Amino acid sequence: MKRRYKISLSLSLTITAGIVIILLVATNFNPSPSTDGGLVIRVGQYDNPPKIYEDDQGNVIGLFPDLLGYIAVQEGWTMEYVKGTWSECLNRLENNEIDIMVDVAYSDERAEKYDFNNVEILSNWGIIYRKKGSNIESIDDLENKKIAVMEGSIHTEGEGGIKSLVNKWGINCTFIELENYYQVFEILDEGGAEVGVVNRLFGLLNENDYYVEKTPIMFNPRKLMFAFPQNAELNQILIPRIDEQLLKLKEDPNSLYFQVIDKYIYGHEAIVLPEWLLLTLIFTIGLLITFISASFVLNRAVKSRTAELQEAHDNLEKKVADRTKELEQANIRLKELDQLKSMFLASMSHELRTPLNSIIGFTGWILMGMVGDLNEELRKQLTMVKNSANHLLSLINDILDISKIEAGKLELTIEKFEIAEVVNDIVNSVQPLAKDKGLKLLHVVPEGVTLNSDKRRIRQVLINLVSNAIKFTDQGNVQIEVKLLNNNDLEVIVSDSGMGIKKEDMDILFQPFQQIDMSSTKKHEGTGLGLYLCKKILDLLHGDISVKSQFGKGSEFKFIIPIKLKVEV
Amino acid sequence: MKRVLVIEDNEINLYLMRTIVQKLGHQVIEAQDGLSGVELAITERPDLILMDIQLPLLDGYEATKKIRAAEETKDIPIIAITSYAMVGDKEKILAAGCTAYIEKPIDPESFIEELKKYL
Repeated sequence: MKRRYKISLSLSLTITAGIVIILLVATNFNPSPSTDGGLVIRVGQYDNPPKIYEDDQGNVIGLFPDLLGYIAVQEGWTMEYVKGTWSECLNRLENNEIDIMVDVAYSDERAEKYDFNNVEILSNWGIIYRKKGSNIESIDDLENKKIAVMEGSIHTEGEGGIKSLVNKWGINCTFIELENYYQVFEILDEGGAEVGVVNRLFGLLNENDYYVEKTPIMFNPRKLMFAFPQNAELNQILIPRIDEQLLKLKEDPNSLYFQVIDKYIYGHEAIVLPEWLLLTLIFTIGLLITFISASFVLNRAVKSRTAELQEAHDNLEKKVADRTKELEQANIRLKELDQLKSMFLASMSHELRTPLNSIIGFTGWILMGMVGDLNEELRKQLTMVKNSANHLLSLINDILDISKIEAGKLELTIEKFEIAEVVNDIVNSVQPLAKDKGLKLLHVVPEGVTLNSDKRRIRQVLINLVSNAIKFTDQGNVQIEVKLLNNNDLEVIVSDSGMGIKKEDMDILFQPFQQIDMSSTKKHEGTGLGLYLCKKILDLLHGDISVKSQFGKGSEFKFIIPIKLKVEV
Repeated sequence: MKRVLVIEDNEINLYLMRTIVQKLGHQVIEAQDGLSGVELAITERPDLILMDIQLPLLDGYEATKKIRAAEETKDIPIIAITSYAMVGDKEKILAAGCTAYIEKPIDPESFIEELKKYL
């Protein structure tokens, strides 16, 4: 009974059940009787599991056949089972029609009829079963009851049998005699008897198949032995050999004897679990096996995919590393090319300016009348040459400045100066241009505001904006307004009443080589570098430039610069 | 009539400056590199020196320093003729010892005005 609790853990239960099932299946297969011409022994066979019964294939199995089979193999005997009911078997034994009867409980009475071997195989006793829910608890409760019994059983007849037991206690009851214990349980189940007598092993094994339960009434403990026809010749061989083999088996705790006990009694006891639990167990084991194999398969699949991924990842990393290297090299080359470009532009513009200097110098000299008198047409044309040369020079200068800024080679000259001075100077120099177009050039500038910045570059930006304003304005005015924003910043606004800028053109205004398309009006001079250069210069001066405009009404360019420029060394 | 030393390696620019200076009625002494410029300055001791900055053999800065270093020439006014590319080098030019500087391209009118200050 203890065993049952030991295996209560579901895992051990599962494993045990699994092993038991496997064992059962494996051992149910009995070898066929040997036919090698040794001693042939006739054995009485009846149906009383787990002690002796037939399996589905008709093999005789059970505790006794297994033991006897083992001994027979050891001794070289051949077994031959003779089937019958319990009573028939006992009759045959009496008549020497069989050589051995299994599962015979020893009694003095029987010992007068048969011979027994000496080593006990199993203990057994009678138990009274009742229909479930009935209240029969003691011998006294058997009064006037119908008792189902097996005919000829040691628990029915004889000294310790139920008949003599109730007799001793003076209880009146009726006996229903049946062929076997199954019929006893059946009649109990069906209500044909109130109680029934079976041996404890049968009860243990079969009580769950019927609507029956044990009462506490137990009686007639018996040793189960092999029985032999009295004084048969063969007994001289069989009894000592069987006893010797049994003794040997009982000495070794791992022997077949204990295995058989374990298998047929306790093994069955363990399986006396509800059928649903058994099914659940089998199902669980099946599921487990499925899961384990599935997880194995999945695991392999995952591993192989992981390896593939790892490889892909490695390849990708290598590619990225290669590309990065290529890009780095390309980047270095680009930087080199960019510097080359800037150097080229710088040196080219220098070379271009030298002859231009001569053109401007000589045309100026001739126009001064120093070479000789000029007629009107000559003066007009020579002026055109001079203006064109000046324009070309300013373009070259712009390109030079931009390439210097982009190459990071434009150096600033920080000095102290008054902004009013710069503005007045510019107004003076562009006044003639404004006058020519009939424009009013206005300026508002606070006196005494000193800047610490690059005077030349601020002048360059301002003159660029004012020239643009004059260029794109045909009537009205151009105004320069300078304001001290706070103690740190100066705001300069150049506004005009000119053609203005379309919204869609605002974005490209400060891009290099962009000149707004003025399809309706004449094309204006310029490289489209002026505002780009202004922005670049203001970046260097830590300033900012912005524009507001209404197309057709005018524009307003505004830049803000710090009064004191801090230069990072 | 004063004597003006023009140190300029570009023939045409040299011709232009020579023309202007001569037209103003002065004598022109010419040098086409820094080294001979310094020599001529010391030997001829002109009244004014027009000095290009980008010069072969010895550049304008070095030539100016040498002229200033010599006792005979240390007070002669030197007008540097600078290229636009030399913007930002104004301090450097003045620090080297130049009296004034004129930016290229030469505008004859303003050039004459500047010359008249020293002649």
